[in-house]
Amino acid sequence: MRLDLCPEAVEVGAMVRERIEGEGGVDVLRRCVADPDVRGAVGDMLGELGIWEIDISEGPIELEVAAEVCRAAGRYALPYPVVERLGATGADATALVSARGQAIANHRDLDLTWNALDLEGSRYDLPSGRRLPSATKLAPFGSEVDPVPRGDKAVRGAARLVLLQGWWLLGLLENAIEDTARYTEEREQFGRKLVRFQSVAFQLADMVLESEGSSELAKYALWSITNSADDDDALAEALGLRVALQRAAGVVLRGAHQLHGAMGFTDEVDVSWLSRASQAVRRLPEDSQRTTGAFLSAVERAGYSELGHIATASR
Amino acid sequence: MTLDYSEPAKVTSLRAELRMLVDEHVPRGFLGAFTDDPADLAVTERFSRELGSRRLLTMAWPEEFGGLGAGVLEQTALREEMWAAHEPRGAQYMGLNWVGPVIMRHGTEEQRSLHLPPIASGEVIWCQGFSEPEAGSDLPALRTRATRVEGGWRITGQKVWTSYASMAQWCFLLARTGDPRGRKDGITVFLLDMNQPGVEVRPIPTMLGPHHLNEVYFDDAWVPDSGVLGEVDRGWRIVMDVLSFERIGIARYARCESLLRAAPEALGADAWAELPSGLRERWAAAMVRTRQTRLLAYRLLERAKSGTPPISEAALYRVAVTTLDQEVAEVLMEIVGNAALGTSDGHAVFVREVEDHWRYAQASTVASGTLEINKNTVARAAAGS
Ligand SMILES: Cc1cc2nc3c(=O)[nH]c(=O)nc-3n(C[C@H](O)[C@H](O)[C@H](O)COP(=O)(O)OP(=O)(O)OC[C@H]3O[C@@H](n4cnc5c(N)ncnc54)[C@H](O)[C@@H]3O)c2cc1C
Repeated sequence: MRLDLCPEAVEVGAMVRERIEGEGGVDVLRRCVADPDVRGAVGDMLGELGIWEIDISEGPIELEVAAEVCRAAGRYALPYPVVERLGATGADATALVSARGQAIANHRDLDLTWNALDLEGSRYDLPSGRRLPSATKLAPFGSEVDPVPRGDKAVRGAARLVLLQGWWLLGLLENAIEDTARYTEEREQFGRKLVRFQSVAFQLADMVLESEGSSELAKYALWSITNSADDDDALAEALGLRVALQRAAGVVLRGAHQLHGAMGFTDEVDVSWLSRASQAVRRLPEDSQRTTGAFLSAVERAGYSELGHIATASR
Repeated sequence: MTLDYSEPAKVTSLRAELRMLVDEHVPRGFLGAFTDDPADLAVTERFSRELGSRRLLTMAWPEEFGGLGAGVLEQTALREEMWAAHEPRGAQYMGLNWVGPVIMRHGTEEQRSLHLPPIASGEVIWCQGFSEPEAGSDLPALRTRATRVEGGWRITGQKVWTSYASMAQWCFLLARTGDPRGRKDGITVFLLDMNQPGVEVRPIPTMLGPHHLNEVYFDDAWVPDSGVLGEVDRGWRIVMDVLSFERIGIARYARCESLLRAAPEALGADAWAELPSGLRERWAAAMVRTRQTRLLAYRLLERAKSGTPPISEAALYRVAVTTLDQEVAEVLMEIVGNAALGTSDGHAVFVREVEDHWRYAQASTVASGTLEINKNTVARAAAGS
């Protein structure tokens, strides 16, 4: 058993992190919310690092590298379709959309060639995207799209895309936890550090549990998707990861707000931006109830492959 | 006498009157005063004056203070109808719910006659100057200083998270007059005129919308002796009253209920039927939770009839209603699907209400005392300590 990502992935992930940090970290998001037109430059920045040369169909190393890049981008809720580009099949960028018609896709307004997949792997053309006239605080880069079904499927492509989206969210949650942990260590009330209050400590522990658990599952899902010959198996694994991350996002970001007190809603602190930016990724293409439904269908169709030696209970 | 939860006819007709006024004076799609559109603020001002002219603002106040001496049920109906309509009274609810009642209880004749009539007519906005950077949950750590001078007091210090400060004419201010380490001793309540050189308001940008939260800096600001509410150094008793009144004041469950009830129709029968059954089950369960919370509010109001509601009861209700707010916000977001994240449909009022409700609900477990602090209060009371 090997529980660590390959050195290439770790190295590239660290490089991307460092570069985004150099540009201001979450400030990149702040700038792009103020002026969405500067998002193109974010893509160029990653291009300079050679990120768009990564081809995840080449093998497990590339997929691990891509996953770490997504995690690094998610850490700062980087306002650019990193997941959609690294996980693309047959276009510059592939969006995940809902099979239920009217849909929102992040960043579809950017000048790239696009197509889309839904959570079952059905393929769509994505002819255009209209920037939402009244973009909400929760989806500042949302575009309204009308996916046109193509009648074919790319199940493995969907599995990889959902997987990478999971890694992106994981990075975001890890950053939110680090900030929150630091805050509870720095801020004092009643003459004590916040983390000394048990209810604060318990919430923080719950947050840590969610992200650590998600992190282990994200690695396992990556391995499993790479190694399983069966596309349906791979998709079930990816959807399972998404179910876990949607739950984790709820716990982590609720806790991040709560433990920051009123400070957690201000534009000054990063967690406030991470929480907002997470919304579109947590809820698109489908929120947690419907994603769980999609996962259930996948498991009923393909099973949920066994991790190892636990015998199925006999009746 | 047996149990009776029926609504008296006069309460039902009050609801009808309020709904009619909302229909008439509040534009469809109104989401409260804290939007980017200054017209929304103007709506609240007009609406408050309209209610004021019908004495509906102060309905629950005793007649001697310009109210109608209305009963608990009418007062509750008013709060529910207003909150369900995204509080078209804007900032006024604070003046009505707690500033006025606390001045009635602790104020001098002069303070009552100076402050109560403008609150009653909806012409004045108050803000609450309690929290400071180092004094959030730990309010007794507050450090803003009031120094006695000839004829009054000079105030120096900083408040933070002050809602409505940028529009307020008056501040209900806590400052330290006694020993800096005196905790709950040595705090005095001041009724401070915001319109003076020593007061500076700086808005704090947040995800809750523009000009909601603010910092307020006091640099030798002036309050005459007549602006001291209650006794010098003994303000903490008044603070407890304020917090109890404030925590029961907002009928958050009413907005939850109205949005939950509106959901099936807003979505349309077909879309509703296609929702995952697990989601409809959560919707149904949320309706029950809303009812429980509403009943807790009614019990609290009933017990509060003859004086200040007990702080632990107020805390219990607050725990219920703020967690309800968040639970319902989540269910509603999922019911409308990704539409709440944005839509080009200008008529999609419901999804915008849901999005607004979701964002505001995030702060409900922090505002006016955090969930954790309220739970502590509940637990201590339960354990009798
Ligand atoms: C929307 C909104 C409007 C507001 N309006 C006003 C206003 O008009 N006027 C005003 O004066 N204030 C206002 N406030 C401030 C509000 O009263 C404070 O935010 C609140 O009291 C918490 O203080 P804090 O933000 O400093 O958080 P902190 O006290 O720093 O708390 C941070 C975290 O630590 C936890 N914690 C702290 N102490 C304990 C403990 N002893 N045990 C367990 N957990 C603990 C808290 O529960 C929280 O999770 C407003 C806040 C909000 C969000």
